[in-house]
Amino acid sequence: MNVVYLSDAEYKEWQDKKKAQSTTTVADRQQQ
Amino acid sequence: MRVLAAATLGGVILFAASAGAQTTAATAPTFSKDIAPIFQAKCQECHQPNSIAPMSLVTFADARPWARSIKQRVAQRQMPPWHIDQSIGVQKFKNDMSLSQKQIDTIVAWVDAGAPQGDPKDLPPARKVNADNEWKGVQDGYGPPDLVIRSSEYKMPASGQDVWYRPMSEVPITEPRWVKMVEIRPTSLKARKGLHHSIAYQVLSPDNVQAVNTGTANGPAPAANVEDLVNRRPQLMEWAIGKGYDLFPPGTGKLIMPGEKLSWDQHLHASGEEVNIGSEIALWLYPKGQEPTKRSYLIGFTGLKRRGFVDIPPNSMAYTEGFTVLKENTLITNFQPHFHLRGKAMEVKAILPDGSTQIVSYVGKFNFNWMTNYIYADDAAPAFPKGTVIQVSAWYDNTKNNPSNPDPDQWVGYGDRTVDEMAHA
Repeated sequence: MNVVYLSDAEYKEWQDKKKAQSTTTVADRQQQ
Repeated sequence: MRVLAAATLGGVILFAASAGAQTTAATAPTFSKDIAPIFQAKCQECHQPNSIAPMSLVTFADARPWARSIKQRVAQRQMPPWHIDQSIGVQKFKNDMSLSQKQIDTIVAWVDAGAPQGDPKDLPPARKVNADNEWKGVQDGYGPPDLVIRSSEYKMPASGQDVWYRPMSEVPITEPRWVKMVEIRPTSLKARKGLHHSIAYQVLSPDNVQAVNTGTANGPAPAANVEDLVNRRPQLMEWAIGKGYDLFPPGTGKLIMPGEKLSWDQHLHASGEEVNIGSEIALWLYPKGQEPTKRSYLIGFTGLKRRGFVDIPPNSMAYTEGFTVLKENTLITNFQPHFHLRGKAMEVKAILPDGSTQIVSYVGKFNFNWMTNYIYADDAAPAFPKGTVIQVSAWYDNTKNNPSNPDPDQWVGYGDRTVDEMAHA
């Protein structure tokens, strides 16, 4: 897989963007 | 009177039945109006004359003989070769070639109705035919590459053991350049039959040592010296059969420097006829002045507890799993499951430091002939914090139920040959 490494500030920025999105893009699997 | 009434009733019933049949025939999809646009959009990139596909789907005459096979392949989502599960994990991609359910239903209805041609006047304008062995990046609208580097070719005999061919190539640039997209292809359509994978390793210049993925998936590792870094060869690109291109997210890429070389690792497999086999790599470069700020690294997240540990008995299913700890905050930009002929399914799961888990991607119907690269859309690519464990789970089918299995009576272990197994994402 191709990856890009993020600083702590960049990761926080990514998290803030995800929260602002209306839908989650990575599905959670329900733990049985 | 009764006879007349019965005849009249029969006539009414016959008329009604006829009207119903006419309605069905009138509303059934036709090739010209309904199917040709789908084939143009999703199939003809490959299914055209002199291409990698076994038959063309450009004209009605091309497609009609294959109608039942087409229905089976699309209904089972074997074709187009987009095998990622569409109900789990990341769902948005930059290179999604799949059919929508509506398109599948239309194709199925067309075949069920007898695969009618319809009126040729309803056909859309013909699609431009690709050049032989055209770059996927060109087909997908990215324009011609800025640089193409070709390896020498190996004369592969019609039969015999696998060969690993490892020539070197110069990188013909006179100044540093950043790569935004990269694609490898076999040197000809014929060569596609025998080239199973091709890796272009970057032999670095001492000025580009940051290109080395210094084992960062396992933690930043200080190099002993510059020569040590130069001798580690990061992968500029890894290609396997059926793969398209690697497209790096905006603002990221790979740096190439004057004086560097490519060291090829090409896995050749006998295909039943003698053929010259080599590789070409196409580089799409960032324009000067628009260089990215971050590097993209290629990491193989292992699906094995330890390297070399694969033990698949004859006539059996098997499972392996591997774990990689992220030592940096990591954005994952694509998924490319890799194993060999017994590979059946692969899942990538993130186990976050707080104990929660997220399924990133899952392919349940892996096909060795399609090492599809599922490139996540920029707003869908997942990122995980330092300390996250990436678990790769791999399922294998070494039974006769696996149509790709060359010999279910054979024990299978780890190895580079196509008949051996490995697993990584």
